[in-house]
Amino acid sequence: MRHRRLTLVLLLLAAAAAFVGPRLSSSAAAPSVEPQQRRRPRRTRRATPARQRVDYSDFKHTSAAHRKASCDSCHKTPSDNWAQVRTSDTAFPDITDYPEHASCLNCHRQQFFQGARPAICTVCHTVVSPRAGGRYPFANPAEAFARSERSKKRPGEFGLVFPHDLHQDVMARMSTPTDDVRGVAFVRASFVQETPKKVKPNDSCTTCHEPFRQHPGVPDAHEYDPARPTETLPDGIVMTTPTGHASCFNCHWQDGGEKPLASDCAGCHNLLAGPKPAARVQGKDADEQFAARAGLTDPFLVRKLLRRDSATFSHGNESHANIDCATCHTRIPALNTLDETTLRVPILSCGGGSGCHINAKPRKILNEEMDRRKEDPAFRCTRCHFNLAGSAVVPDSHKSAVGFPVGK
Amino acid sequence: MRNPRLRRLTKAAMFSVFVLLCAYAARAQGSPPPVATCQPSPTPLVIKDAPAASEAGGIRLFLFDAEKKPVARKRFFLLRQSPLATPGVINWLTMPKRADYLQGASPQLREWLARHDCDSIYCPEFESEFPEAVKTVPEFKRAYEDGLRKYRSERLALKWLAVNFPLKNVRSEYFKRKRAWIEEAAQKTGRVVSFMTDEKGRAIMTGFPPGDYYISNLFPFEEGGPVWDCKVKALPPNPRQMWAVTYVFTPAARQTAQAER
Repeated sequence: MRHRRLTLVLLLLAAAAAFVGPRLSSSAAAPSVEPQQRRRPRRTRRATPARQRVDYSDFKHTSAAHRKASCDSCHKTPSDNWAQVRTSDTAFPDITDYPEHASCLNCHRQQFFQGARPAICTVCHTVVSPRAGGRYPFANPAEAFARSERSKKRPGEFGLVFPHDLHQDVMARMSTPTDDVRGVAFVRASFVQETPKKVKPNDSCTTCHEPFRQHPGVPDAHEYDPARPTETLPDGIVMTTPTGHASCFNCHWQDGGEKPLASDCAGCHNLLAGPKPAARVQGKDADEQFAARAGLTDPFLVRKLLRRDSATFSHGNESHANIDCATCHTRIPALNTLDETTLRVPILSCGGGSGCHINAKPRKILNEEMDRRKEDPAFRCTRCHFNLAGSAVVPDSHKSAVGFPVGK
Repeated sequence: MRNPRLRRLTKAAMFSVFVLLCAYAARAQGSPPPVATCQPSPTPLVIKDAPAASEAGGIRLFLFDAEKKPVARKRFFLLRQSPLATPGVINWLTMPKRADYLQGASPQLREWLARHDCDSIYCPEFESEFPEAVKTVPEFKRAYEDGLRKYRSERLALKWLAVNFPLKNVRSEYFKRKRAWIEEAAQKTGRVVSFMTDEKGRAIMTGFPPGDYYISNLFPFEEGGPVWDCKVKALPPNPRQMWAVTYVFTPAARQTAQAER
């Protein structure tokens, strides 16, 4: 009898130790990194290579299994909530929600029912609980997602393919518009002034792009002044680009639109081989501080500014606004949205032919700055540049443009 | 075969058939559309201290139509080969014609499209005219009603009019065929780069080796319009040289071009 009691007590103690022990160790391990470090050598000591652990809380379109599946095998077009996501005057059928559970269950049934708090649930859900339905914002509408904390933690996996040449052709008119047609349909809002000096004809670029105005309603009264570097920068530093499907689906909707159809996500969204490159590019002119001074908070616009060679150029400047886009963007038909080098504007566009900023007599901005730089290698070229102003190397394109010997 | 006369007759018949086939094949390539030429001003000269030929070259152009107005926002190609000098390179007979893609279109739609002169129904200025078009053009009316039924929103039905447009051949088929034809022609004539003129009819091209090239639109901008075939010299991208030469493209007056046809 005594033995039986003793055995029972010992068994109870062992059970208690087994129950409490791991809890104590796990609660102690949570805030500390040390126990994890202790565990690591045990894994590396294994003779056979350890099976790669999959982090099911981190969804990736790039995983081999996901790459094999077609986009519409998970994404429903349109989502059920499309009418609620946007206001009634802007709503349109769109993919605005996560795929249904059913699209994951075929392959991930095991992970769905693994433990009390399955890691896979955290891909979409903020709280893992059968009673809590809170979810992280979906990546579309892009404007709303870009403002969320989630967007900072999850860099995009896709690059956007937009064939400018095709769209340019399909929208280009066969004949030059007559004077009575000009300026009727697609006049830029920013051009509407009390005394319009010149109305830019519809050039089809304005269908999607217009100067971004951080001070709407206030006319451009000043330009970038390097002497006053803290002053707020003028409007129109960057041009807007559509970030959502609103300007695509009215032609590419699956009811009978043009290919790629809305249901064929990969027709425009190109899965990148590696992580999306950082917004800030080494060797470019602008930085985040400059973007903030320009009043840019939208991540898409900031990204556009950060890849520019001349941060201070303003599209909204009156002289620039009256020039046709194709005058400077000379390679629109060859433009590839996935290749940043094709987006570059040649320096000759600044006055190689017109003499606006490149001219020998009278000497214009580029000639003046290059002259001063020649006299004083420490001279900072601030008229067009911000961070590149003191750059050690003057590019050959600049030397060539003003007739200086190249490569010296 | 024993009869030499019969052999001679057979040979003569075969030769005749061969000649006829050749003539038919040559005719099948079609007669090219009216040609327009260009004139450099002044004649391009390469400066002595020009960079090596491997460096990128450039060309600056000004293009005007027969009425001396700038040819604005039009696509041209820089080619290695003249599209017209070598017969048979391009089959001009297969050039798509817009009228062939209007089957099934109502008279109102034909009239509406003729008024706008666009390769597809996606021209940007159309959108502002859709509210009126859905009242007068049966195809647009049907598309609008379809949209209204699907989206239950007048705004959306109007904005998405094109996706519910009932005639696919009218919507964009001509544009697609034309584009495919141009791409094929450009490929056959050694396409280097394509470019688009700005509002003043100017175009600047850089990024290819200096040398002799041809510039052409390959496809007339309007029915009966000319195809440019201009030999140009790409200069090293020294602006003092590149900008010193301007190629002025001027086609013959339209009446003359039509008379030539």
